[in-house]
Amino acid sequence: MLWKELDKPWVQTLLAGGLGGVILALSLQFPDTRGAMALVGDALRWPEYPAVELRRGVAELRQWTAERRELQERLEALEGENLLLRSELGGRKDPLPPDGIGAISARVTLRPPHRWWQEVRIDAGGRRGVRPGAPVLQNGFLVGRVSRVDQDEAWVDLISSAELLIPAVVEKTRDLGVMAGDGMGRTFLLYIPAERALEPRMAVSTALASEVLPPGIPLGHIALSSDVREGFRYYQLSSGADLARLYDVSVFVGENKP
Amino acid sequence: MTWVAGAFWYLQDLIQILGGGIFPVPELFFLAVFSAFVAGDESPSQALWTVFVGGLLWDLRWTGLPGFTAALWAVVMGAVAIFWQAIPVQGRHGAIFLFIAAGSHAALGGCRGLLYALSGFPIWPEILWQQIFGLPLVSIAALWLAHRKESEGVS
Repeated sequence: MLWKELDKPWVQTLLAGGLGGVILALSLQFPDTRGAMALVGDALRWPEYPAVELRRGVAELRQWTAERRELQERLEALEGENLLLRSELGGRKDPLPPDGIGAISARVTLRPPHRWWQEVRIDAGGRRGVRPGAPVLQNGFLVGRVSRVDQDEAWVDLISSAELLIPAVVEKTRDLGVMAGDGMGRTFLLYIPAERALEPRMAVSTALASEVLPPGIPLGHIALSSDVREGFRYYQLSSGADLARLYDVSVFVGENKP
Repeated sequence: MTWVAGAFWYLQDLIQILGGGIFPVPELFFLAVFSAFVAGDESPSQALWTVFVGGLLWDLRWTGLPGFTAALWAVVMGAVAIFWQAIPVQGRHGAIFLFIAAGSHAALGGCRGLLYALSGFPIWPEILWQQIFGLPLVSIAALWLAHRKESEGVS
């Protein structure tokens, strides 16, 4: 009769609940149950190993990702700071940002012998953001200005061309003039008043007189003075760019870069 | 059915490890044993003592209160088993199972939440997540049971 009663679900429920309560009470009274916990932990060490390793791997991956993100942010901050410093320093030496920021690199692909000092062709065109009038530099010095643009190439008028006139300023004295070539490889600074005495090695750069040609691009320095004609003195310039070794140039693409 | 219950205990254990204590893992083992009982694979006593043993192991592995989960799972299993058997056979369909299983899962979560609250560490938001993640499991179990009943009816 008793066994029949014991088999009933509600009796079993009470028994199990009571047994659990007794175990709980005993475990609270006797802290030695920690040994049983350790035993279960040890027994499950290997079955749980894949999950433990997976969790560890995920945690390491998350940490690695967080560290990389932090490094990336720091790198970007440093790059920004570097660009800022370069642009501040560049007003005197190299006003252009590095390639990819506002300037692109290009190679000289053609230099017709009959127009040797007039123009060159480069392998960058409208597809890469080159626009007519854009300045072209070599080692930070102006070598010319883009005159015609195709999709993948462009023609550049050289500063030694007699057809290119560039507003220029003598940096030390702030005297304004115009730089022009003679078509024979030489460049001159024109329209400087005769009474102004400019000295050799004075730096000359572009003046603020053109929308497409930024001011402050180095041109070269004064080499020789010549005669006075009609109240103005002409100065021969020594170009900072090496027009005899013109292979690679930078083209300023500004905001128009694709 | 014991090995299936053991597999679900192991699965719950693995999820507990992977979850990393973000919130209490859904009572997968309990639901599996209850489903087996409803499917007719286990008697009420078998189901009750299966969850008791599983609960005791769970306590020794995770809660640090040996007997707490064992008693909790056993009492709730006994209650739902008695309730299920009190329902006429014709009325034991998937919706009723869903209701009882979800209710028992909520009751278990409520008891755990109460224990934590009494200890001074209320974790009610985490308990809510446990219930939310438990609902799909209950639904899957209900679908499995409905499919099984349908197959048995056809055969």
